[in-house]
Amino acid sequence: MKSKSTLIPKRKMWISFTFIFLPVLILVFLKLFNFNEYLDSDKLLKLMGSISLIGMFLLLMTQWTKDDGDEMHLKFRLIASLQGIISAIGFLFTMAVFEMFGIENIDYSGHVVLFMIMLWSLYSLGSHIYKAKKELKEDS
Amino acid sequence: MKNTIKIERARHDLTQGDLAEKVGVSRQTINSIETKKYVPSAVLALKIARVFQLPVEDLFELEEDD
Repeated sequence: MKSKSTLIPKRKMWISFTFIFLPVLILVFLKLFNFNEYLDSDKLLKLMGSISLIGMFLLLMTQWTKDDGDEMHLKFRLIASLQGIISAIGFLFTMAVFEMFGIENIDYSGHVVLFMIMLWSLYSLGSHIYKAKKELKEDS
Repeated sequence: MKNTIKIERARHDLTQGDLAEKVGVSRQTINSIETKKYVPSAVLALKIARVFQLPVEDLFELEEDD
């Protein structure tokens, strides 16, 4: 059950980072040269956020180490994705409770929730892979 | 789930890397199975058993909490 072929090779990791950070650079550029006055900033932010999310997804599907790609790593990805979803549910629940009692009223969009899912998934996957690598070093 | 992969590896004079290569997984995965941190799929368990020419139940054994 190998999934190496479905992963993006590590040498192409720059593509993911370009997708993540290019929108940020574009936004800074637009801000510096006051182009944002002529554009709908909300729509622009959503578009740039979506592009960054694509980059984060590509990063999740990148072969992080030479060992990455077999069934154990596939399980790591599954756990990471589930943890991402759970964290988002927890976030939405907490926000709902806060709003109910008027403690906090944060305006969050679908992009924020998806960003949170992706961020948590990436963190979880990274820590699983790091732990597996560390255990291997300790045993050898 | 208990397993005797380490013993069988020693008997067959195979390193974790050799076994990993034979069954098409990473050395990390073999290491995690041996240290009971990862439970392999049925396919992988059968592949490992085939390398050692043993029935899968001789290689893997359920524990109380499984």
